[in-house]
Amino acid sequence: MSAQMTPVRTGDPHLAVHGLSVRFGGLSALDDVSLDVREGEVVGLIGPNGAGKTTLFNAVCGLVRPSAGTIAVGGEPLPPDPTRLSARGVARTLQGLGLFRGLTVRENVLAGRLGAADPGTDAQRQLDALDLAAHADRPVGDLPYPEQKKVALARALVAQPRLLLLDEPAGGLGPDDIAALGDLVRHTAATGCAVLLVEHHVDFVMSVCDRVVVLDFGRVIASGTPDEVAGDPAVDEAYLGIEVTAS
Amino acid sequence: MTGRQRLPGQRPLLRTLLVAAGWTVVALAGTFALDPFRNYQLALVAAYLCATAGLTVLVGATGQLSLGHAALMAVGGYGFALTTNALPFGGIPAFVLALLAGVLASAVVGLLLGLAAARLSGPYLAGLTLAVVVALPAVASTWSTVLHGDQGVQIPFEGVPDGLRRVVALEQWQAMVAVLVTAAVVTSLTVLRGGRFGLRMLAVRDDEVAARLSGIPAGRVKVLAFTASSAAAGVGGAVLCFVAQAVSPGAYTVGFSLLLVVAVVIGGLGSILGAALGSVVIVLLPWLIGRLTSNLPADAAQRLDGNLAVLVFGLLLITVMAVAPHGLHGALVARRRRTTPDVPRPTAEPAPRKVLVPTEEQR
Repeated sequence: MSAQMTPVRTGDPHLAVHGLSVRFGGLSALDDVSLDVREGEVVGLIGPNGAGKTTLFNAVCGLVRPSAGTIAVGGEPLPPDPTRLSARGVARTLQGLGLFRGLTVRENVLAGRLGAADPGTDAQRQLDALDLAAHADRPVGDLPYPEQKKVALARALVAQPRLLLLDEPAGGLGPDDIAALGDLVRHTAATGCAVLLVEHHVDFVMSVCDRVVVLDFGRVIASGTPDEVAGDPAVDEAYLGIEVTAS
Repeated sequence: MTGRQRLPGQRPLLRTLLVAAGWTVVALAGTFALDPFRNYQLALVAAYLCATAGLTVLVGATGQLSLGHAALMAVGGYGFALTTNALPFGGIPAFVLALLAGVLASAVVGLLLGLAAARLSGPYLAGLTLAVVVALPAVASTWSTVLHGDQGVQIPFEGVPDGLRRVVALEQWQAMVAVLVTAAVVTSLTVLRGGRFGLRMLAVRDDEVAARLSGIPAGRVKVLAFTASSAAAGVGGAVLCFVAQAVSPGAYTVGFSLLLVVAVVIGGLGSILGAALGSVVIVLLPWLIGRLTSNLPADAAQRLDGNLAVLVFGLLLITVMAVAPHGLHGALVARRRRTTPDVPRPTAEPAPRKVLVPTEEQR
């Protein structure tokens, strides 16, 4: 697969998060979190349930307001307004499907590109690229779950984002679909897009990501290459809840 | 690249206008075949259609439930009446100016309501809009020097223009004006719903967070949709005032406001044709019931007067929801699909694909 063979391009951090804290009343959901994602890089964000992964996504997208810290995309601060993300080249998929159930496949993809002069052409190109053109005029709810996941991805990709945030993209998919999803993520990164993904499927994360950041109780407890993170005792402790002694 | 391209599947504007013009001509021609009372009923249907078409676009496309569209009709009616009385001249120019004033008034009230509505949903929004209708008589009483309390505002009699007086009767003229105005409203709403704004409304209805992440300003879309829907209701109120030559709070009760919602649901939520069918139902059903009860003894007829219509509307609503959950228009569409010969669906059983990025060969 050529997408997998393409060398990863790295450069300046495209997404730079520094000292990010988010509090919900007395609960600290994120505490002084810093991470960055470079162009062409795939970074995985993992951690146990409630670690703050989706909260970090929500903070980047402006859906929750941080109590401290900065978020910059392409060197410029990101305004806390979800509707302006698209214009800044940021796209995100949601933890569920996040599809518009009353619309067709094509309309769902069009919805991600309505600000463009010719969204129809862009949507068709994206439908072709993800092999969805045959289903284009069907109601999106008629499609099998993996195909619906592809529609959600197509809607995120149609605006040709420079930063792609994927929230549990492998959730609910079988092994073959997960492998195909890995191809797509690597292919997208190979075009220079920075990819940050939240995922519980550890094997997927380890096979696709260039770097992995591990969150626990809102703090970064480990980061590095997949191999480095896999051997980190703090990660085992966070996942297994027991203290692991490094051999 | 010049300008913004049409969306795939979006009907060309010219075609929409031609279809609208065709239906308008048919309706105008139809007025010549109707007697004065039927023309009066046609004018009522047209006036109600303005409100129900706006309401069905609002509820069906954005998911915002308004129980207060009668109040917005009243605002349009009062705007029309007060402007008509303030103008030193009459005729068609006065009608057009008063209509615009009525639309403007209802759009402004709709904008204010829409700003609140964008932050509310479900029962909270329904409660807010219902409160507006409930408050209408109190508003008319509070500003009784202008709105004349329960009596309402009368407008001077405006007959058929001189050039047409030999050809058409008053009721027919009123029906023709109502049809023309309603055609403009329905066409505008059709264009609004069929384009990019329509897709934005549907996206906001289905998943507001996903819509915002797709760059769709959900709050602005909801406010604009509410304003457009209110303006349409205002036109309906103005047309009703033109036909009745008066506007009063007693014509815009909570019951009437709920009846507009019933019309939209019976016709088929989100369908403008359904709104037209629903408007016909709410005009004709009370009349039909009145005809049936007129043969009963006077005492029984008096007891049933008004009450039976409400009961029948309730039963009709339950029946339609049980038999055709998508309303009359939905049932018509389903029937047409059943009678159309089956065309093999190329996408019925797609070949299993396990590639997200197909190679050239796989394509």
